[in-house]
Amino acid sequence: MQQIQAGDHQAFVKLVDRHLTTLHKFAQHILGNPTDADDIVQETFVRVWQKAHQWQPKAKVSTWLHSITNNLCMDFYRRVKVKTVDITEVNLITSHQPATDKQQQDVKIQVQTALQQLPENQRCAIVLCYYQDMTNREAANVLNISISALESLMARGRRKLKKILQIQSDDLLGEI
Amino acid sequence: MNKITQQRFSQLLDIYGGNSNRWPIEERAAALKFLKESTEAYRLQQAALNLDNLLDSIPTASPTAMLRQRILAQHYTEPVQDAWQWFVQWFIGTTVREHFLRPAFMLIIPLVFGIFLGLNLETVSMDENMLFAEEVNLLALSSTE
Repeated sequence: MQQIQAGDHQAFVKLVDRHLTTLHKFAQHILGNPTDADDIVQETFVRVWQKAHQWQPKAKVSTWLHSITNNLCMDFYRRVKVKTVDITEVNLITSHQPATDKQQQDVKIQVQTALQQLPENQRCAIVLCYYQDMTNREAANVLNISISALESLMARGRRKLKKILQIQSDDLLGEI
Repeated sequence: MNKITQQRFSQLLDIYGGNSNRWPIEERAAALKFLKESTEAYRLQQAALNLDNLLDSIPTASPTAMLRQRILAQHYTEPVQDAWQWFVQWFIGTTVREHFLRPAFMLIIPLVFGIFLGLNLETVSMDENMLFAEEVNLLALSSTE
């Protein structure tokens, strides 16, 4: 990062190669589609290049990058108001697929749609800890909240996910 | 290693799910020990794992090579922000709250400075008044010619 702060283009290329996939996955889980994630990740790296001097050595680079991506995703939500698909529409979307694949595909889409139905902050907390493999401290730093607030968001998020998925299908979650 | 209660174990599952790799490192050892000793804990963990497995099933697409090219091409054309741009950005902030709080804070600084200066000037002017009074007294004692 210090090399990037000094305007080193090669260091920036290395940073992109190291973090592109992770940040793209993060944005995809938050926004629900890869096309919007492309734009957000591109903007993230532009910000990193422009504002490299704002990074402080005490902050972990991946945490800082996730914070920027998260802020851009939130701005995107406020600007565009992402349309969430109602979970009951999912069967219509996948009805043309073969029966065996269709069931598996149905489950994946149902879970993805359920995740998109969570409030933004709950979804971010879950995505950071589940998909980005962050520790609770790192995730709390990204969201700029305390660990107990993060735990509260995650617990509420998981409860809501269970509820949404149970409404859709009792088979999905078994006995929970 | 601290002991963990049934209640905290249930909370861990509610928050972090059934995969022990996601449990907080400070509590993991105690939670795993509790898991070994309690069949109820095992049952709760399996139930939590159902949701974890569903969450793990969500697919994601990898970023394309074109996206990488776009990012690298764009960064060459973007100038690095100079100190003045950084100050303006910092001044207006990035969130709605910051848009109000930061300019307000910046306006309070000269206000506080003004009050401080005003209080100090008052003492100076008092001294001047005293000097003026002394001068009048001296003039009053002097001859009128």
